[in-house]
Amino acid sequence: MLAVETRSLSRSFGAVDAVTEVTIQVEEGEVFGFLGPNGAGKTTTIRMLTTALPPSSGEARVLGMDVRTDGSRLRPQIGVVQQGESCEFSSTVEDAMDIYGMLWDVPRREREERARELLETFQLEAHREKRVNELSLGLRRRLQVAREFIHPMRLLFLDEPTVGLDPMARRGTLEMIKGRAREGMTVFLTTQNLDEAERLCDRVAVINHGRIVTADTPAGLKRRFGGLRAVKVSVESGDRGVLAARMREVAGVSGVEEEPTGEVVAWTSDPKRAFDEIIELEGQAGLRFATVTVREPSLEQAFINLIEREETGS
Amino acid sequence: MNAVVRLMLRDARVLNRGLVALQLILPLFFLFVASFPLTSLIAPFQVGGQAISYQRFLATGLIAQTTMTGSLIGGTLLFTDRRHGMFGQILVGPATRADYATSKMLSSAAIGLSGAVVVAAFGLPFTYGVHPTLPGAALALGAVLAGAFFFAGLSVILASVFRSLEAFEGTFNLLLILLTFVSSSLYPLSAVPSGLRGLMLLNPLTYDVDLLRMGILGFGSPYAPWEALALSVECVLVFVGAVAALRRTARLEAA
Ligand SMILES: Nc1ncnc2c1ncn2[C@@H]1O[C@H](COP(=O)(O)OP(=O)(O)O)[C@@H](O)[C@H]1O
Ligand SMILES: [Mg+2]
Repeated sequence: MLAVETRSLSRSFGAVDAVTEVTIQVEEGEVFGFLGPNGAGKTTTIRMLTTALPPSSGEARVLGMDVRTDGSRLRPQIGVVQQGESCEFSSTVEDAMDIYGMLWDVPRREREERARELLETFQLEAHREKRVNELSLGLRRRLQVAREFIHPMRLLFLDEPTVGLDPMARRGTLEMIKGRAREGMTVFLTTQNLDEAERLCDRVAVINHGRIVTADTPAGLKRRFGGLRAVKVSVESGDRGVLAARMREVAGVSGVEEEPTGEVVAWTSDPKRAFDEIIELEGQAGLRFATVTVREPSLEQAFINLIEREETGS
Repeated sequence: MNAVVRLMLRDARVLNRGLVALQLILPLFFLFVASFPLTSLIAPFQVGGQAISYQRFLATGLIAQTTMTGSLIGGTLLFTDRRHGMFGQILVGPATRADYATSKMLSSAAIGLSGAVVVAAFGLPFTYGVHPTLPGAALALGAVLAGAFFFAGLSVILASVFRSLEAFEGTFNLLLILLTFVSSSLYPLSAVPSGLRGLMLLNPLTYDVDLLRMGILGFGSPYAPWEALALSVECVLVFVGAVAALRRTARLEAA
């Protein structure tokens, strides 16, 4: 069964079309990333999928249930970390955690045990007796993300969960998500951190101006939209100018640069072939190479290329 | 465990107990400080065919009045939930909107009731010598329950209407004072100029107080059934209003 399935899902606010004809499918057990710049429609989509906001048109089924009519059956099976803050401000950290577990009807023993683990994983132990309103924004966000893991769920929605988290907390969050995904939980998260998406997601969809631009694996996206790849040579001995000139002759190489680091970089759309031919250059004209590497484009580069292409309409 | 009960347990845990205690200060102050000089100034007067001391009259009035002050605190619970994002979070969690609305009404009513119990513990000794009958006690309890329920609904409505906590609190406090003075909790209806009486008859606190007094002090009134009817109708109206207000709030928060 599909964990999330939408067909032409749309939502407008007055004259603003926040989400337009979004059709996506998320397999059960998958970690699905929803990428897009600010205002792209990520939050609006998540709010529709979590029954917080009724769609204007189109269909959405989550865990097989219609978000319009099956809300009360669906909600107990999902977890939601909303983009906006939500906290028990007047309680202590550990009380806030426990209250949340109680709301979800997690038995006391179990929630005490889980709370201990979560406070540790998210490094909140030192703050456990502090009042939530004394915490910094980042710590409150950490608590908000952490507490969601206190209850069992089949599908977890996270709307930009790592924004405002420090690197340690960010790692804790990613580890937590990965761990639960390995146990079979489905994850649907939005992010603007491409590095994170690359490490975490099985598949990503890119949304811009409310419309899905593409959906693929991170590797597929990079392959399709990452643009040119770089073959980098770090020279041990020989004339770098000569090397650069010879590299320009290699078939499929569209440009060569001498970098300030001393490396010579060739840009190409066919890195395999360029790599093989560049290796052959060693020995010619007294050239000796220390290393030759192919650098993959980052998901970030692919994302930027994709959005730029969208904006210029090419 | 039922979702409504879980939500109420949460209310009990996040409630600002200081604020609740603060609401008890004024009635207790009236009881232990103001009632003595006032009673020395005001001769016993006739209510329902009985002569009654002002202290006794006031003590019973304050019990009912506390259901009002206490219940209105329930509104702050809803307000802080909205302000702190927990309203939206809970509604995408394991509780339905109806669970949430019911729990807030019941929590508010429970706060009002517990306030009334505290004030009764201090106030009832002032009625020493009166022996209420069983139906009388039941009437008093019913009046307090209905009052707590009415004001719980009112607090939920108020808290959903306002966008800022300051505006909510300002209005809330003003309303408390107005409702107190335009009711029969501090003085009998008969002492009020007839022009004002109509206003007092709109105020559910008047019925709440009257019925409670009839129950505890044991005097009869030909109006009792009418007062009970009026209070019941007002309870129903406010409940419908509260549910509508919460619906509207959820819709506004969503958009
Ligand atoms: N409640 C709302 N009322 C009016 N416009 C909204 C509302 N929520 C979102 N929008 C608009 O919809 C668009 C998408 O917003 P959003 O889903 O929050 O994007 P993202 O989460 O990708 O940053 C934006 O143009 C935003 O201004
Ligand atoms: Mg967003």
